[in-house]
Amino acid sequence: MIDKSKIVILMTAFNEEKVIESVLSGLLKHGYKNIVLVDDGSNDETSKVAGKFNIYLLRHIINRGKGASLQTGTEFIMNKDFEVIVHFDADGQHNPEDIENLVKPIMEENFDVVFGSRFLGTTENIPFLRKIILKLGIFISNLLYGVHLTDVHNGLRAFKRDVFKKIILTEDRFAYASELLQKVVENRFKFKEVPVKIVYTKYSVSKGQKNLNALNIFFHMLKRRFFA
Amino acid sequence: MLKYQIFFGTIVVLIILKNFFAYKRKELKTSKFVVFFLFWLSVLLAIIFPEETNKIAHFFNITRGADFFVYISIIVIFYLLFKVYNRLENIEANITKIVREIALMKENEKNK
Repeated sequence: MIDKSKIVILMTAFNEEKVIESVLSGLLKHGYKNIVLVDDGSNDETSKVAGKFNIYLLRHIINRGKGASLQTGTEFIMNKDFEVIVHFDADGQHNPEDIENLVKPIMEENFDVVFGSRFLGTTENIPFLRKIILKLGIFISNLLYGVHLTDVHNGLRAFKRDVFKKIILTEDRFAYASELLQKVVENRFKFKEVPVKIVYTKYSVSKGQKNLNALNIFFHMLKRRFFA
Repeated sequence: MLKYQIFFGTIVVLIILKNFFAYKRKELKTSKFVVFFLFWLSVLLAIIFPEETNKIAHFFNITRGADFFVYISIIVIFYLLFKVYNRLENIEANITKIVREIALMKENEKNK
């Protein structure tokens, strides 16, 4: 059994009033009491709903993007004593049961970073076009960073706390995921992938990043890889 | 003087005057004013003496002066785009820093 008191769940939310309650309840039910939620400038009731729970709730006064929110949450966590940080999406796509498998390699095998992989695990109802774009993104990332991952833009991942002494996210929007991977590789952190389950619902697909955004992410990847 | 020379020449003179008055009101630094002035003066001279631009173009093995100006304009526009893009990125990063600070400050105040 893992010691869940050493784990902190870091979530970011933008207009998630419809699902945030069930996502937070699910995490608490599974014993994850340490939750940091960054409300990224929602203009709905996300903060109000989340405020009913006993969690750390931070709020961006305007929307700054997922990468920016994760960095805000990370800076908050670095002043606390948690040992493992888990990134978990607020849109209901992720399963709290997967967290244990993500955290074990860090607590028991001394890994620094563990990425969740939907392609090692299972995906339900993934749109065809999304799958093609994700696979293309994985191919390009592996090529650029010299790794052999099966999933890159999966928001479910775990980190040893000290990793963030060396990694500061500067990409505010969705390109943060490739920035994170690049910095993990550059800092020679010990990492692995574990299978996770991702459930695509109509809601999560409509809330997630748009397919066309892939071009923007690709542009940022090239810029950072060759010009940063 | 041809019609187009009068038309474009007037526009450039107005721009130079606008910059001059901005400089007088101390809204423009001397260095920037000098750069703007020299740039627009060269544009004005090229409008008044278009055949002279051919000589400059020939020096660079370009047939027509007008082509030479188009090439220069493209380079200048791309340079300016690059500068604007960089400035925008810096502004975005600074906004994020401010928003983050406020979020962290408010959370710390809650815990006091």
